[in-house]
Amino acid sequence: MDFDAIVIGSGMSGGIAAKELTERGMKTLVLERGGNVERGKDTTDWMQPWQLPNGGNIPEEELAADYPVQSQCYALSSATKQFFVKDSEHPYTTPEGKPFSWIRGYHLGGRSIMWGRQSYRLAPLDFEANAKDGHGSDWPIRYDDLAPWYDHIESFIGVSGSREGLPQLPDGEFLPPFALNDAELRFKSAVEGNFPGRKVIPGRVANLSEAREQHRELGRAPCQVRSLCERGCTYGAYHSSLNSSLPAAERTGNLTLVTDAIAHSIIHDPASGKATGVRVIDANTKEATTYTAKVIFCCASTIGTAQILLNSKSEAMPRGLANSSDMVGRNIMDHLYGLLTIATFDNMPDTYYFGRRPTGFYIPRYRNLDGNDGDYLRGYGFQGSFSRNGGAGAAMALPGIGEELKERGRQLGPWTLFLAGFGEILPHPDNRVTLSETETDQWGIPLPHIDVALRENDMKLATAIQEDGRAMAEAAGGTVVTSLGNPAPPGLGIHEMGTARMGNDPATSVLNGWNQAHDVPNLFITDGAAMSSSGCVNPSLTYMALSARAADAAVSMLAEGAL
Amino acid sequence: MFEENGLSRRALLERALILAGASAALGACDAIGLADEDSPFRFDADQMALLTAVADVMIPKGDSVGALDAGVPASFEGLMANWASPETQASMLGQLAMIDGLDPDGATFASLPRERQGELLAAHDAAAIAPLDAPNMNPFGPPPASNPEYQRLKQLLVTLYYLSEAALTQEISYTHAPGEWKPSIPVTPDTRPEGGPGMF
Repeated sequence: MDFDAIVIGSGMSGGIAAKELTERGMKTLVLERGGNVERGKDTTDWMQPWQLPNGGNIPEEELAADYPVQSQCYALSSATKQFFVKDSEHPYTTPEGKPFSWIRGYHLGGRSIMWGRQSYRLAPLDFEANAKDGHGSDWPIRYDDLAPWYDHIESFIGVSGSREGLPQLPDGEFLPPFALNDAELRFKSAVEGNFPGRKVIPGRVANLSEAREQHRELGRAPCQVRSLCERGCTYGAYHSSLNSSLPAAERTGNLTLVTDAIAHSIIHDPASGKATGVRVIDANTKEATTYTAKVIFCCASTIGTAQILLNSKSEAMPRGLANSSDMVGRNIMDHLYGLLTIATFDNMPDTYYFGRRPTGFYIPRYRNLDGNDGDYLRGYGFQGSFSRNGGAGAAMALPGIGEELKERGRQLGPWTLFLAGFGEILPHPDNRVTLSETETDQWGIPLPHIDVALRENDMKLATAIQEDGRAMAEAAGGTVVTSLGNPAPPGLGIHEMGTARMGNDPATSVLNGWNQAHDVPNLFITDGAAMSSSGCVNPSLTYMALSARAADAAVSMLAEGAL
Repeated sequence: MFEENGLSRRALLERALILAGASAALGACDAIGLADEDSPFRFDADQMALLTAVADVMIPKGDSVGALDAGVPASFEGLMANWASPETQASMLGQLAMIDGLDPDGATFASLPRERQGELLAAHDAAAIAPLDAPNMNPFGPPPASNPEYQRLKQLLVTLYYLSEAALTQEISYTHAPGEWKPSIPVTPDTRPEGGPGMF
């Protein structure tokens, strides 16, 4: 064997898997399909606003030709385009009238560079939801199984937040929170006073409100409150594979990293029943290579992992690797996204704030906590913030030129609320990715065909989100100026998950309670593909906790001779 | 892996201007990006005079800094050359030509007295930016207006101004690395909104 372990993918999950495996003495190869990125050299957080190419805009013709999907993501700009794929080079298909926005970046660190950093634990009720209402496969683990691994990850990556004692949003190992501003405190009082059971708390975010020893020893410094995170952070102040997990893996001396290495498929030995290696295509030369290892972690992202498994067909596994259940590629979930309420207020304190806090507030789920109190299943939470704007936006808000325009631009605008709901999407087997039988990419890999629809329960949640958003804004004295009630296309929440779900039954799930493939014991999948349900919170923290737990388990199994 | 073409060119131009002793011209180069050499788009002298007049009237110097201090005309030419599609270029040229034709006596906009320029552009702006009773499809952009092409021209000029170093340091405020989060500070007569490229 070339290595003890191969990790496919260097993003959120792969970085943590690599760290945990190497720290346990495993000689580990990380395969990254994109190019190398160096913190400080390739990050663009140094750019002042006036240094942004084209004021931050990507040339219109380039945008239309190369980024028709990626341009739907708020984080794409001329300062970040190097962190997003060109859709023109990485095609996929969707059925007519059923768009799916697959937002991604192929480079070292993957989407951990551009992620939104909101970090919340799933709750006991999330792990019990499938069993309770019968949708999806029952999670083979419960909250208590993952809780110590949430602790472990939070301590390592650094999550700022407040302890609230809410059963639906468990507390964690937090750094000090980024405090609410004065309007948010007033909003909190209004919401909590008018709607018992609802809480407005500081957003929990993977930015170092303070740098502790485990952060400083990796060269990480406290957050400078710039909110330039998606450009990469020279200070290493937010968690990404570049800032945290890969440097931690590298210092063990056990890490081998190969970039521009596209995983074509995983090789399966029918005699042993195990995976023996990974076929790789060089992204530039298109030469094929095979790497072998005792254990394989597939962390190529939800769609990418399904693509690799489905492309690993063999005589023994004609439907694809680890797919005896026919569940590989199915049950794609995201979060309801784009449900936005904007309101202005004239009853808030005439104060301001300093700094661009890398988070806002959070309203944890309050629906269906104890049984169903609506005509829908599951629930939703809200992310939001209050800000006072001026400058170009204020100057453009009304007709006028000259001193009138400038005077408007230099005034502090009214407190403005941005409130965005994130709702749980139910797993459904017909929401799935398959591989094209006729079309391949330039590396000869069949194109993914992504067929996902929002369904009745999802749309009921979307309606409830907007009703509640308006009600909370108005209860606090706001005037709603915008209410976007149609959810964005699936995928745009950038929380896609579920294509290799965990479960107790090998007939209806792909992975067991250790993220280990039922069909292939030395194959572990710890990215979003593993998720049995989506909850309504941002999922990366759970991916990382699952990755660390599975790595620990895999090393133990190897030591015990079980693999 | 990041392409720094725009910045490299800017740096080269600044160096060339310094070597030429043209330090006064650096203000005009304090722009988001000048037109790339390989772009065929350039405003001719009359168009640049028109654009300069429009930018100056729209965002005058007053008691702080204006569009010309911020290098907006050069930045706008850079945007048209490096960013705009042919359709956008044509649209913006059309809007500028429309402004050039505002004087009923046929004088070019740039040749008019400053006060007259202000009268004509203010009236044109009031009509063009008049709010439309239409749904706002972009909650992060300005409200729908009766002449969206003129609104876009204005938005580009205004945005270039407020992204400039001159405006961000002398008209409103910007701190690249605040270093700390203060959730509550008093508002004083000197308080200015924080600018920058972000949404919030």
